[in-house]
Amino acid sequence: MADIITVMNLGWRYAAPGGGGEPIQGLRDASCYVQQGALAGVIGPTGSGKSTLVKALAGIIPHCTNGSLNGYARIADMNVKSTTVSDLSLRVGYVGQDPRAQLTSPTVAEEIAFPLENRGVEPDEIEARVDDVLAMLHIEDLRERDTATLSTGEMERVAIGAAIAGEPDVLIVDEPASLLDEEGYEDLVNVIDVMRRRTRMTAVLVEQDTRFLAQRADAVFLMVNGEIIRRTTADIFTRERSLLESVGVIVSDQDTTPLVIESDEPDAAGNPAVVFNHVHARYADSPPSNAPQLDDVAFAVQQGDFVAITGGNGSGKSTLTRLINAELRPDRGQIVVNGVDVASRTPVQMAQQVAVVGQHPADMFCAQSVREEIGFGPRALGVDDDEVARRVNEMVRLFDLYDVEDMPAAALSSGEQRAVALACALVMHAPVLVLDEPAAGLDHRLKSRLLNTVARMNQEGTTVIIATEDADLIQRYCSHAARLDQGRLVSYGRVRANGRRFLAPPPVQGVLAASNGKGVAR
Amino acid sequence: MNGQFYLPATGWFHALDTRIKLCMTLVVVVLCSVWGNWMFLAAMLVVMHVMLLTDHVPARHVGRLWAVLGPLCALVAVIMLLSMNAYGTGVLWQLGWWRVTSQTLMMCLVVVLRIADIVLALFLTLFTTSHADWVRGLTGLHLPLTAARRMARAVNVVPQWFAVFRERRLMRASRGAGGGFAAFGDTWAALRLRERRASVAALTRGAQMHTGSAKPTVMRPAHMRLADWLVLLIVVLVAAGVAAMVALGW
Repeated sequence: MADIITVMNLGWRYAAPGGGGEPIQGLRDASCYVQQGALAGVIGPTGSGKSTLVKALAGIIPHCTNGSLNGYARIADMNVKSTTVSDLSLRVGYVGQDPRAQLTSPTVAEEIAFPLENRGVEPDEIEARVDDVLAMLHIEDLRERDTATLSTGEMERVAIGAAIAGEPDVLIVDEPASLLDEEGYEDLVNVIDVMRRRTRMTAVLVEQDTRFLAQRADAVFLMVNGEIIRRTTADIFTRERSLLESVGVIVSDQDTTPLVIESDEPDAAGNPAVVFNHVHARYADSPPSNAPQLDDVAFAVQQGDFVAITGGNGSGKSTLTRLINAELRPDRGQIVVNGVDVASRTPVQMAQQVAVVGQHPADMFCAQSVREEIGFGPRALGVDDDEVARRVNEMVRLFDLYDVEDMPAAALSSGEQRAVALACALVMHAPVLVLDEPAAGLDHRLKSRLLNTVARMNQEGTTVIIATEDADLIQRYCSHAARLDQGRLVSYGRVRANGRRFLAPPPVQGVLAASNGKGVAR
Repeated sequence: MNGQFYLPATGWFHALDTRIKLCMTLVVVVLCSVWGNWMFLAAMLVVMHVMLLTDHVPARHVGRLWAVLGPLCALVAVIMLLSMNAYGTGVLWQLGWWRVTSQTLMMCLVVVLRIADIVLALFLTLFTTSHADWVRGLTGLHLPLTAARRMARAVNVVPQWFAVFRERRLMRASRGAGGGFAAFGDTWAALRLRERRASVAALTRGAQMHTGSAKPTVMRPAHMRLADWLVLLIVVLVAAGVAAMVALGW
């Protein structure tokens, strides 16, 4: 069978980030081959070059990124170097790691129609195809929604819809499992199955979550430090499990325990840190036909609790976290943080009480270097310079940021950006810490380091609220969980532990240190 | 603000073909610029408010527009009153060298009404025309699809800037930093980054694809309904009537 993807000795160096510095090696001598109709998985730790490789297949590297390319890449009979990104897109559907950066149109229907309009497909056929794609991904109700009001998971589904609308020969999806809920991921798997049967489409999935690849992948490429160190099949997940775990790739257990939330009686004598009192929230200017983001949500988080807010895509998790620090205001209801009504405070005033890390850490950066970034919050709150320097040093040590402390945070790899964002929050010494999907897309090593640090802060008295869909993470770390469904609170109570507490650090630190290249800019 | 002027609704003006809205806006702008009859200008203002009302554009958005337009009109009026000292003979009030005449007041009224009419006419279209409607209307005017999309984005550059500014200011505030001035610089960088990402995303979806003889299409092409033709007829009749009155020296 013919290869539809041929990569030979591909190398890529990102241009040096602004303000000087060295160019960063993204790919080193990478070679791989994928047969037509196959399902290929690209795995590896955070910052190992997985996203760089698939960007090179989609043509974003070298055509839309500064840097230097050598070697050879061919996809669907097109040479990546000599074919424009638009022309590659005729046969290659690409969904990047950040779906927000992928959406170009104001409504979902327009977004999915966009590639078909560019191809000159007849209007009636476009309408039919859009309906077809929406039905395949079970997002018919999002058809006329403003893309700016979608949750990140919903955006990912729409981006996948736009990528498959043109029935590509190759579909490339970068880390979908970190953004999609169970149903969304099943839909993606079904779409891949249907299109492989119908059009012999080839699929390339970049993943940290290896469950699907372990069962179905025809080819697996393990990347470490910009190199493809294994070109093999799905049996790598059983044959070389210890190698994978040593480089930070999570090999999923099949015996995942479903999350059980016990229904507790409210603790009347408790000392609440955050109280949601019948909260109702709807985006401004959203049509009345759209469901509210939150509908009559009521529960209380006690001081010192480690609480998860969980639920599917678009259930209102992120909206709820954004209400805690007055970033959003509810239409009705009340939020009380440490006895203070949030409605009477500005976000600046709430920063004393609540430290927040959003779903997209890069959005919060505004300083010139990592050190300045970490010191930004305390300085803004009026902490004196000596104390700021002490706290910053503590965070740099805690997250091992010595090598990157003078670099701009925006130029770091996604894992390092998450570490810096968390450091920016912890350095505030706020009594309540709110994290939105803190471990999404992180490898085992970074995940354990970040979450164990948060757990330690929690043991020292910080109340922690995290929005996540990761059931294993909730069972390992959280004392309580609130489950949301379409903006409504379904259950809230203690988490029944699965007997496993915290993530153990990976066994071979040396390999990890080598595997995680510093400052892989995107 | 959601990054565009458009306010989702299902009113009759929302449903009009974008080309008709553009034609209507153009006619209002030209007529109000040419004919300085205060009664006509005031009537146009009333008519446009009735249109906004019957189209179910939320009153708070019209109020926000007036919150900016009102002080602007007042400023223009004050500058005119101060600077047109020697205009007209019918003195109503005099303080030293400065005098106010009935002619100055009338001139101020006409200029203020003109400004209000033109701004209202533009916002009537901006409030009721979605990105898809802009693309549909502009391609209906035989603009290439890429240019139409670019123009549709450009129309909303101001609300986009404010949406990004709000995000940046909120982000800084959530880290304890008040004041919007510092967010000002961030906003330009964030907007540039967003534009760059959008253009890369558009390329990955085939925005500049070579399709040979096949021309890009739009999902819902512009289509004139009977209601659109009727409104066009009314606009043409009003324009002709006003032109006749101007010619007759009213």
